[in-house]
Amino acid sequence: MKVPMSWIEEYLDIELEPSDIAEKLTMAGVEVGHIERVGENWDEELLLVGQIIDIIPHPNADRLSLPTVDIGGGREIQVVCGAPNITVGQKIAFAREGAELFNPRTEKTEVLKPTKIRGVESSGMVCSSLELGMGTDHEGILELDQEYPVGSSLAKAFGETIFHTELTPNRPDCLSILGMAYEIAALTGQTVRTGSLHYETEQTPISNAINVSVEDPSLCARYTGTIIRDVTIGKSPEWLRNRLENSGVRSINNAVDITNYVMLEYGQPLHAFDVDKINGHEIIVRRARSGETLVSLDGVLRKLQETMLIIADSEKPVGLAGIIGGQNTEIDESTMNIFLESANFSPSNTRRTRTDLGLNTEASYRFERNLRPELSEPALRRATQLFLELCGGKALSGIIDKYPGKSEVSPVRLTTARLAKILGGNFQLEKDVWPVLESLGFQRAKGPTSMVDLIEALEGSASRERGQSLWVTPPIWRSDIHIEDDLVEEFARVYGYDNLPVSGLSSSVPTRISDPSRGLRESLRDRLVSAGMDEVITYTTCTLNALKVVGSIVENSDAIHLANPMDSTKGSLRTSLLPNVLETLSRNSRHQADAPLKLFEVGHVFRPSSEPSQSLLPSETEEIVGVILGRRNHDSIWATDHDSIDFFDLKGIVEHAADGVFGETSYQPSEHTAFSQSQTATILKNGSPIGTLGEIDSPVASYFNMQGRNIYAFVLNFTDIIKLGKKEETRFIPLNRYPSSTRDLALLCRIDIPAANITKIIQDHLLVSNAYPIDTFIGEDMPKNMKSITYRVTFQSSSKTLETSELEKAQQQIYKNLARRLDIEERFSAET
Amino acid sequence: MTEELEEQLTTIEAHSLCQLARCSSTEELEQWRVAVMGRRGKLTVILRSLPNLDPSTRPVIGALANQTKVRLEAALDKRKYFLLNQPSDVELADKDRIDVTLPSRSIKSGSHHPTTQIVKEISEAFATMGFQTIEGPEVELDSYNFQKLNIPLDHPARDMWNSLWIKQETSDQNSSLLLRTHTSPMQVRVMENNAPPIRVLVPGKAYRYEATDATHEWQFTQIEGLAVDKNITFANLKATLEEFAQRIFGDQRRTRFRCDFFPFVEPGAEMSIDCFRCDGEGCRVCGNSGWIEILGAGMVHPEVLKGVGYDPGVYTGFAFGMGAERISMLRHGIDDIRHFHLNDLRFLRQFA
Repeated sequence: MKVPMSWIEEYLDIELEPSDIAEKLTMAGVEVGHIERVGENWDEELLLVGQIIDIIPHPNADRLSLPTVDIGGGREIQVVCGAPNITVGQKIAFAREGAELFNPRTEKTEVLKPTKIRGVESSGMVCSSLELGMGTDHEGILELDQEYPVGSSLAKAFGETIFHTELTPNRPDCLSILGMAYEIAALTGQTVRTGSLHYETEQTPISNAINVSVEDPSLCARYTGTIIRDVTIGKSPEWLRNRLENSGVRSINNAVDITNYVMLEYGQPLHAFDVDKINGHEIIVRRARSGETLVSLDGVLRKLQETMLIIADSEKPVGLAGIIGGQNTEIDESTMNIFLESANFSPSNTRRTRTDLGLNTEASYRFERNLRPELSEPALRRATQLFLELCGGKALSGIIDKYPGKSEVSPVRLTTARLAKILGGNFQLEKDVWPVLESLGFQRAKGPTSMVDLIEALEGSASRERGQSLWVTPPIWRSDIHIEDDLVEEFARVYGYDNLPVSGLSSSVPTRISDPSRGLRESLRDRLVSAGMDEVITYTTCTLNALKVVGSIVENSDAIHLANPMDSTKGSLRTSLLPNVLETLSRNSRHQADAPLKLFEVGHVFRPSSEPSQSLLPSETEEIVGVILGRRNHDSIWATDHDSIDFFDLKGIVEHAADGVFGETSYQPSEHTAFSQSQTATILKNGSPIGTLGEIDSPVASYFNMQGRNIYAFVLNFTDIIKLGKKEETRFIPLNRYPSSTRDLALLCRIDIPAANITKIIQDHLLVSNAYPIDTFIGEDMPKNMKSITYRVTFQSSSKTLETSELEKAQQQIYKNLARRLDIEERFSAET
Repeated sequence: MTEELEEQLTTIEAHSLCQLARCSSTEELEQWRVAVMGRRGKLTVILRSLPNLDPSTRPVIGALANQTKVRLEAALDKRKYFLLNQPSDVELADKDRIDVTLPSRSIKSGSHHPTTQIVKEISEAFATMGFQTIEGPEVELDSYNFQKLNIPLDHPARDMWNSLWIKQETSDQNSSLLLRTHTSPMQVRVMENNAPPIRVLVPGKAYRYEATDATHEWQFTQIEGLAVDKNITFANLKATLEEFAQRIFGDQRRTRFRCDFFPFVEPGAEMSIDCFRCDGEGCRVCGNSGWIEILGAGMVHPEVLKGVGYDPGVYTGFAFGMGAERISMLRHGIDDIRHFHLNDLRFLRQFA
């Protein structure tokens, strides 16, 4: 909201610098984002209030005239003027030569120089508000009120400091001058001056002229109104227009301007109806009926729904309650009699209606922030007073006041004990707290009004525990004070958060929350990084196509979709990290030609829950995906191996990560849509599948714009890994004191026998402490579909030194087992 | 007598050869020659005594002594030759010298994403103050994201968090699903499932339906904190967050707390630190204010405590939340939040 400080000054004297006040407001929770200073650069000598004392036509141009302006001190200056709205006697803003003005044609601030316009000398200018930098109106000159003395400085008469506040939704009171005045008063130790709301009325009671009924009290807690007869609708006086302009509201006519002015002053939206356009002398506050429509003041035909609260006469809707009026009862130049409404409408219903209509107004903005019904009446009286002052006419006696939501305001208690419990310091209610609350407009209350409170208060022990109590009621412009802690905050924010005590935490050991995932996740991340992989974090959303390409989903319904995605590429929640990581790899591969690229991501993936879960949440699991591409080594003086990365590089990375964190993994050939047929494995732990590893299939690589590139990827289901638990605790094995012997066994076996099976059989022999393949090949001299595989086997006993005969025997047993179980033949063996 | 001399000659030869091997300069060789073969040299003394020997033994000893002399002279020549032709220390060193400035056979490590790094650093700062780090779901129910945090349906405070809603068949607003707009729902989940005292830190992704620019991302990382016990006060909140600020931004940092509004805390606050770039003088980093907003915080609202079954008359607590990327941007001078999700390696590897 824009808050002109001259308006605040009607309520209190401003002594501090505006920037100091803004700082205090900001610290207290009413953020001043920007201070605008109108007339800050106006020269006191060169920009003056002038009066037009004569106008003669321009000899050479029909649309120009030559006004003579009195600028005081006996100085009269004739200038050339193009404005259509000048008249003799008018007070205007006059710029002498040398003044700095905004030039609307060049959109720059320029120094005014004497010029000849169509042959006539002009050394000064009658200004529009745009040229002064205080508005957008360039059509006519700025017409000043007669009250400004000729020759006085424009800066003094018109200068304004405007606070642009950025408010939190709990403070509708700060959407008003009144609320801001109390806020500033409390922060600067001043007292707010309030004026009288009295006005003269006719004899005729208002009840003779109109009948108001509230049909839906739950949506309208209060409805007040007055009728003013014989008004004159016209232009508002300059001070009112200027103030609205400085508050960011356009002037319409005096009647509408008054309702806006009081809304800004009190925070209470009002609406003026042409009472002669209301049928049946009747106002009904009710829900709209199906099929009803209303052309709102902005000229739009609104289809009303039955949830919407409207103002109606005996026949038709005449306004959307709390949002906008209807054209059918609009004030115009011919309006004679006015019905002025000041009511209280339901915040949630207002919000829902304005959302449904897509129509956010100053009124709806305030109502949805919850106004107090107590505010309706003083705002109504203030507006009525202004109507009589500015539009003439007479008010009927009394006011309409339908108040179905009337209830006793319950006082709120504040105790020294609660202050200490929340703030951690000792504060005195009378000395520290009450002055703050009083300056904010709070009132002392009698205290307990209900029996429960009364009994509580009489209990000595309870009151001793609480210490002293203070009972208060919040001012009618504050709707955000309900509980004791709200009062604690009121005190704290005015006292200053920075002045409150500071003390370190000291409490018992906090409850341990079981979560095995974090340690595992961090260790895996560290391991992958130490293996040379770079971590990426991609968006949680994905396209359905990409998910289908990598085989993560088959049907659209396999994924969860957003109702309002950021854009069409972010329409569904990812069911796998693979597409986004591949996309990231693809983008990076354009910058880094052949260098090894190794990326991984740890993140959540989402699927509709297969069975209705108690938590109502979809299935959300964690995945780890890694991808590699390019050469094995960076180019370097030492690099001898310039081969491309392959399956076993990535397998090494997976093992490096897994071994140290959750234990040994095993691998089985498998198939997967995203991976090639020949190089794909299921990763298992303790026999349970935990992921897939392999070469990305070429159509998938093409989809991600990496045609013909050999990309290897792994996908680990981290949620499954957590379920299987971390690596088993290490059990110490005594160091073997006996020597070991190593032999190489060359075997001939069928090409499709996995090495893992052979290794297992060899290792199962009691005397084998280690066995691993050191070479495998397919030779031309070998039978078809056979391969050679050589194992390096270490024999060792934990109880003695092995004799050659024992080694020989063990080796024969291994050959026998291999032949029996896998049909494997011995090629030769050698000592190493 | 003969045997004695024979033995003497053998000893002199062996001993002298030993000494010769230790000679490492021509001066030393000359000293050795004088000591062995000079006028009073050990061998010369024996040779001179030959005429006094018994004629029967003289030829044998004489031959032996001369052979010894010839061998020692040969050894001397050989040693002299060796010493003269031996490469100097400098020459030797030059031969093996390496260029230590050549690149290493480097062990290439990857990099943690900068968001991961800052989350880890902040988690560790709070861990020392007893905060356990846990995580929670990214798809949330309206009830946890809003209602249980004292943000009812149709409340204007909802405008503070523009939501990305999940497409659903149900129209029951209580079970409406959304991508969580903040990590605060975990306050409720933690308290619902655990008894006080509570001290947790919850990092995680959060999502807002917001246009993206240099300082706004629709997906970002938030770090939530919560401490609940019988005697937790605003004074504890201030001390804890000040400690955090100094751990992350330096011991000299001052903090400033102003009143702010979040429906799930009362009183609510926002913490700033004095600008580490200009020490509060005012610069581009702090927008000339001297202060940089770091996080939102406050005392847990009694309604939130009541909702999870904690007695707000007994238990109090504080909560806070901050944007991880924002902290990282401040720390490293990163000018555009979008880098965090673009994952350009030229960006990521700067943080390796």
